[in-house]
Amino acid sequence: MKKNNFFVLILLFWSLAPFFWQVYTSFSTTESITNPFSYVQNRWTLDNYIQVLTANPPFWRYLLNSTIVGLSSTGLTLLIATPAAYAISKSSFHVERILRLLLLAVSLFPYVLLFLSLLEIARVLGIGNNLLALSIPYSALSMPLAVLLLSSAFKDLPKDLEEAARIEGLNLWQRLRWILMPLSSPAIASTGIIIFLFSWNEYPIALTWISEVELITLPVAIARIAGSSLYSVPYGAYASATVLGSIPLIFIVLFFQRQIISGLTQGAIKG
Amino acid sequence: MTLLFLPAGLLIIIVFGIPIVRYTWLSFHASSVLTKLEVLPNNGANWIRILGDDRFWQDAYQTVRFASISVTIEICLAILIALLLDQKINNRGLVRALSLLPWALPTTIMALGWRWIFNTPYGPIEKIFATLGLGPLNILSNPDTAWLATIIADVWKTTPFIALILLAGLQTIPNELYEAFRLEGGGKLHAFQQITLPMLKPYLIISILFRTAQAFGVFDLIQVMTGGGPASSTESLGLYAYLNALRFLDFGYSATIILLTFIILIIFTLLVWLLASKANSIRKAITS
Amino acid sequence: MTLELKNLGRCVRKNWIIRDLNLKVDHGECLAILGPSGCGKSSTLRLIAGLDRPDEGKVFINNVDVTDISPVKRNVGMVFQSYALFPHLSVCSNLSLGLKVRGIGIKEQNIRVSKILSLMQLEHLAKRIPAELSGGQRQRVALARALLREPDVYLLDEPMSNLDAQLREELRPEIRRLILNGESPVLYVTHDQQEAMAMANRVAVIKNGKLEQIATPQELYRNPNSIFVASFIGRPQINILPTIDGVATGIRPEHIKIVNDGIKCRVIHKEWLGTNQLLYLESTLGTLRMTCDAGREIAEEININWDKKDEHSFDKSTGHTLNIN
Repeated sequence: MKKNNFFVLILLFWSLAPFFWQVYTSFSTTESITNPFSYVQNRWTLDNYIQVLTANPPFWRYLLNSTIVGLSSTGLTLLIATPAAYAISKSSFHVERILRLLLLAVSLFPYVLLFLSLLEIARVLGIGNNLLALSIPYSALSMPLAVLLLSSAFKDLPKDLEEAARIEGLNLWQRLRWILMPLSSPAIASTGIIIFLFSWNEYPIALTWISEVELITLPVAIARIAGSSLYSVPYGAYASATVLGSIPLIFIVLFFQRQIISGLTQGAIKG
Repeated sequence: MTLLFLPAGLLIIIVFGIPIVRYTWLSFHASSVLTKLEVLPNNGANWIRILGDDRFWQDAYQTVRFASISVTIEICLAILIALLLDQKINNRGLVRALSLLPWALPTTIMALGWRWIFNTPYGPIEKIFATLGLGPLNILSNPDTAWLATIIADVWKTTPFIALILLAGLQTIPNELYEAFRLEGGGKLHAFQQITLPMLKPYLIISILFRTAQAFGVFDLIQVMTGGGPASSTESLGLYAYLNALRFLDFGYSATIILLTFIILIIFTLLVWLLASKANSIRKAITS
Repeated sequence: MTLELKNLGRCVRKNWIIRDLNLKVDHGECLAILGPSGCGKSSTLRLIAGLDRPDEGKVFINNVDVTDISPVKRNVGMVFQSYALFPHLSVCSNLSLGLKVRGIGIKEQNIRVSKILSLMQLEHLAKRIPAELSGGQRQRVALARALLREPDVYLLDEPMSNLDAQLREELRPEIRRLILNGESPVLYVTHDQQEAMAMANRVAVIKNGKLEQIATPQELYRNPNSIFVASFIGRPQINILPTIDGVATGIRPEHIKIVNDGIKCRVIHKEWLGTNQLLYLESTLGTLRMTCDAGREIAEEININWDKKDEHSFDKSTGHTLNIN
């Protein structure tokens, strides 16, 4: 046991130290940043945070943008994936296997390579600089995984429940709404959170679709802050931006960790 | 019934399929936007150019190097982490959640963080080496070492994800298998080879394939952490394609880069898959 | 309300699990569908409900051809072997869901649900979820759900097979009271012939997807039309004597009597049945079963005989009955 706990500590240190270094830096004055390990008179400050929060546009704006995109992507994906997952769960053995294999293959694809064409589409259709429009490609990218996870969940439900529902007079949409989806809600929650995390994390498409500063999402905002000056040392401000950007995600991970882990686990097992 | 599948299927086909078609067309037709995107077939000029493009092939080498080393380290570490998390430890749920943090944070955020960590002369790495009396490492400004830093950052971010998948795999192995093996007198290391690894195989293969494909497209990390430098030593194919499109405004060439990258990716993935499937037989040959 | 099946057939992976099924069930009648496991009983029910589509033949409910109508639109009430209660809903909600989707207002839903709850004596369980109920209680909720539909046909798929013997005895009269006095015909699938005989007006005996015989329980007992039916109906099982000239004779254990002078036998085994004894006898005609009330001992030598009237004669090659007594 002792040996295990030792390794656990190493694991936790490895996982959290880089982040904690950012936290440490974010509260440091310029002086202490240049001397992180030695004694400095004026160590702590909130200036970095003030700088980032009062910039134009204010930092919370980026968090809001990411949240808007995240929620709309999740909603759209679940809306489209649910009927598709139902259709797959009811397919014959061979059809189902082929579809699942195809979906798996598509999900392996590094979506970064799609940026150019998607950029063109955005320009042609004029949907660049639109947060809600961003949820369309995000939906498509999350769709394979979502359909795979949800169709497994539907298949796990006892067959006679849906049959009893049909006899009770429920049509397809009523069955989905009252029986299938409530009973699959753990899987739906897991899938939703994974989609949400993906949208928050996505960079290349958000970068190329949105150029208006007011509308950029969090990763793009951070990249801008990072690219703004490669040679000076405003690392305090960088750090506080990093920390602020991470807070919502930390909450999500800690709060929803069960769902995230079960979603990924189920995906691994069934995939 | 097929109607239900239509929106999802259509969306996937459009978003994944159209680009491929478009890229092919672009690579054979377009020239720089500056010359008003001429819709003239250019007789594969882009393709001739790319084959002789040193920067492309250098980037290809760097990307493949990045992907292979990253994924190898990640898989090995992930196995260890998964084995650890499979044990009885205090607050296992909390430990799992916390170790998942690197994966949950957006790449760009921690790319910036890592840039700071490796910063010369103020970053903690440099400071630690300085107190040990070793000279400034200049990791990020040295073309020979910068790419190593990117690998470290990538390993940090994605290992938890793989560990989780492997942990799921570990938990499907029934305890009785280990108990029976122990009764037969098998040692722990042996058990690992004979039971754990074979049963983890599908999970390992999936993880390797998935991560390799993703690593091939690495973009976020490189752009924010090093910008592709120093001297393009960390530049990836994804980044090169992006630069051609948005900085040099040559959509046609960018499309060509993407297509060739895709082709290389498929070949590489197939190789990895063959290797992974053969790994078993190689190992058996060695241990017998 | 009537139910009629015409030439019903269903084929799964080149296997005909039902073939040439013709049945008619009248107004208020209860028909038991009896047969060994896998003979196609549940499949028949599913075809009537519309959960599966027949490959041949038609289903008529009230003389309306419903063969192509989805189960959502047919007005049948079905009780599944597993009860299929919605695990996430309370008893109340399980019952009212069907009403809700049919557009019945909340007030009316509540009225009907309370009525059925009191009828089934389930009021105190209204807010519980299925996981909190016992097997018997779940079965009653499943029944209530079917009753609430006021369906044209009731389909009960082995509703008692998950209950212990005592519970079954208690619930039989309950089910009869609730379901068997209405206008809608009831189809009751079971593999337990005692249950079938107890509950039904008529019994349809099915073997390998084909209808062997359909008649009242008494008729099946007295005049089985094949060895299969004769062996299936009646406990203890009928004795089939060695074939002479292609004719097999059957005699039921309860018709064998002990006489002073007759076929010589030796008791090799005995079972206590409660009201009487079941004896296994060794004789020149093979092993015979008989029931009697006196206490006989193993290794006793006795003489037996029976009334020729009580014999059944079968053509051994076809299995059919040869003459009618």
